Amino acid sequence: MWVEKYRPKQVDEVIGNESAKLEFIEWVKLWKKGKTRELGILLVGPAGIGKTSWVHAFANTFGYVVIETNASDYRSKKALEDRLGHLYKASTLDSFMGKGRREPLLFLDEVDGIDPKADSGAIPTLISIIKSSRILTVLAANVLDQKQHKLLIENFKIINFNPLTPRQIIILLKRILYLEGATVENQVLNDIAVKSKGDARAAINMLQAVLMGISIGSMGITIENLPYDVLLKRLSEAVDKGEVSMLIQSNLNYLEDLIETISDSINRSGLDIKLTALLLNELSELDMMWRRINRERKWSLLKYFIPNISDFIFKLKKYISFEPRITEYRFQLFIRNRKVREQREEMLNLLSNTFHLSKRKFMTEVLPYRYNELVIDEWRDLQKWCSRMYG
Amino acid sequence: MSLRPQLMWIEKYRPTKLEELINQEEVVSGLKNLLQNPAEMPHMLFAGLPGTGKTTTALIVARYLYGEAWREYTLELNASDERGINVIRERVKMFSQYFTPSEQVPFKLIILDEADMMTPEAQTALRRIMEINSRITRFILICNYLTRIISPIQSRCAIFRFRSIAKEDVMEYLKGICNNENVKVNPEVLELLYDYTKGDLRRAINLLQSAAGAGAGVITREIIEELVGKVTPKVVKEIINYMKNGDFYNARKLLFDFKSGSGLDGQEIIKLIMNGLIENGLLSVEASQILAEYEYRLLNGAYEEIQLTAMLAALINQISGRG
Repeated sequence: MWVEKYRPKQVDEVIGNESAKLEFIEWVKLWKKGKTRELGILLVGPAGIGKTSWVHAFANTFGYVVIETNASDYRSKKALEDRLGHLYKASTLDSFMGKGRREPLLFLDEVDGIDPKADSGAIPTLISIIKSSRILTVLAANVLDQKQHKLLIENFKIINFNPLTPRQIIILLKRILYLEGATVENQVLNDIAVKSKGDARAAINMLQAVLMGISIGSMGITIENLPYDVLLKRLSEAVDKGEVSMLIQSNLNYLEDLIETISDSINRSGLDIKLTALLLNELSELDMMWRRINRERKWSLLKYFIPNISDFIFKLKKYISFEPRITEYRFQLFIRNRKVREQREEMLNLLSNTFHLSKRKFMTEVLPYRYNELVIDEWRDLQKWCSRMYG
Repeated sequence: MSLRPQLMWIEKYRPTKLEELINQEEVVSGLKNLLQNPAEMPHMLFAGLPGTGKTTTALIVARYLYGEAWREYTLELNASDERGINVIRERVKMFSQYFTPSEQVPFKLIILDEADMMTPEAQTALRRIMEINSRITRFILICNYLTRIISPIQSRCAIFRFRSIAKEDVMEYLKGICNNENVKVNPEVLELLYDYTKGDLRRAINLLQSAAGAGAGVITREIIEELVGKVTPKVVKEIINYMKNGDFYNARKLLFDFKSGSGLDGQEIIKLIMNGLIENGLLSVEASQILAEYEYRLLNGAYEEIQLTAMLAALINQISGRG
C-alpha cells in the first residue's frame, strides 16, 4: 500500500494546511510551558487530508511516541476506561519514556463517532482521563456538531484541516511517481486530482490503481456508509445523475432522512410558489413510492425508485442546497407542543370514558367550541394552544 | 379532576331507557323483542347517520342487561381510536379473560363504535375475534354506513337501521332541554338550529349549549348564526388567509402547529381545509382535485408531513393562479 509506504515521516513532508500546522506547533510550545487554556488539540476536517499523517510526522520530528486509539472502537465510558485508564497513573510513564526518552502523545481518531446521547459518560470520562494524565493529547474528527460536541469544543483547541487543492495533490503524486520511477500522463494526474476532491489518501490509491492498469473512469473514492453530512455534501457536488445514483445506492440507510432533508430544503428555499408546488408534488410522488416499497418490503422495486429520486435530486441542485440537521418545523413543533400533547392525551383519556365519543370526534366536534369550560386550569399549555387555534 | 359530565348536555340529556329514545320506533320494538330473552341475544349492528342515537341505544342495552353495574360488564371501544386490529384483539382478550358465564350474566358486552372506519382486512380479523369469543361475549357494532361493513359480519348480526330524527322531534327535544335549563328561545331559532344540524341531535345539543353559554340564557338568531360561522375554527380561517396571500411559509407553520397539538390525522386536516375553502368560495373543481389527490396519497400510506405540505403548495399555487 503506497498510502503507508509514502506516509510522511517528518513535518516538512506533509503537504498543505500550512497555517494549521503552524498553529499546531505553536500551541504545543505553549502547552509545554503550561500556558494553554485548552486540554489538547482537536483536529477537524474530512477524511484523507492528512490529519493522521500530520500527527505521526509531528511526533517523529519532535520526539514523541504516538499512542493511537480509534475512538469509534471505544465508544462507551467503560471501554474508554479500560483502554486508557492506565494513563491516570501519570507518574508511571517510564514505560514509554524508556525508549530513547520520547514522550507519549495520545492520539484519538474519529471522536465524532462517540454519540454523546448513547454514551453520555464517554466524553466526560475522556476529559477527566486527559486532565489527570497530563499527556499531550490530540483528537481528530470529521465533522463537529455545535450542540453534540459542546464539551469537546469547550475543552480543546480546534484546528481545522482543509482538503488539499488539486495542485497540492498533483505535487504529492508527482513526488511518489518520481520515487517509484514511474510516469503517467498529465491528463491522468489532473483527473485524479479532480476526482479525489482533496482526499490525499484516495488520490494515492487511485494513482496506484492506474499504474496497475485500472482505468481512471471506473474508479471512485469510497462512497459507502458515509456520514450523513458528507453524503449531502457529496450529493450537492455530484457532477452527473450517475454519481447521485451511485451515492444513494451505496447509502440506502439514509433514504428516509434524505426525503425529509429534501422536503425541508424545498420548504425553506423561498422559491416562488409555482416551482415550490411543482417540486413538492414530485417529492410527494417519490415519497408515496418509497413508502409503498418499504411497507410491502418489495426491495426489488428500488431499482426503479433510485433513478427517479436521483434525477430529482440532480435537478433540485439547480435551485437549492441541502442542509443537514435542520429539521425546522418538525423538531421545533415537537418540542414546543410536547406539553400540549401530553395534556391533550390526559384530557382525552379522562373524557372518552365519560362521553362515549371517539377522540377524533371529541377533537373536531366538541373541543373547538367548548374548551373554555372543559380544559381546566391545570392544563395551562393546552388552554393557551386552544385559544391560539380556536379563538 | 374537576371534569363534570353534567357540564355536557349531551351526557346530561342522554336517554337511559328505550322508551325515552325519539323517532326510532322500529328499533325500539325490535330490541324489546330481542331482549325478552337476554341469554339468546345475538350480536347486533347499529347503522345510521351521526347523532341519531346509536351509541345511546347501545348504552341502554348495556343498562338493561346489567343494571347499574353495567360498566363492569361492558367494554367500549372506538375503532378510530384503537391502533389496529391487534390492539382491539388484545383488549377483547383481556376483557373476556377469567369470565365465567352465569345465569344472571350470560355474557359480557363489547360496544365497538365507528366500526366502518376499519379496513376490510381488519373487519375480517374482527369477524374471527367475534367467533372465537362468542360463547362469553356479545358485540354491538356501530357504524354510519352499512355498506362499509363486510357481508360476513352483517350476516352474523341483527341489523338495526337508525333513521334521521324528524324536525319536530329535534325541536321538541331541544325545547325540553331549554325549559329545564331556564334558557329562553323561540321556535324560529330552534328551527334554524335544526336546519344547521340536519337531524344530528348530538350536534344540535352541542350547538344549543354553546349558544346558551354565549347568550347568557337567551338564545337569538344572531348567536346561532355567529356560532355556526365558527364551525370552521379560527385556525382554519387563518390558514386560508395565509393561503390567499400566497404565504406558504406561515400557512405551513400554522398547519403543523395545529396538527401536532390536536393529534388529528392528515385526512381530518384535509377535511377542515376543505370546509375552509368552501366557506371562502375557493373550492373550485381544480382545488377539490388537489384535495382528492393528496388524500388518496395519504390513504396509500405516504408520509403525512410531506403530503400535507405538497398539498398546501399546490392549493396556494392554484388559488393564486386564479387571481
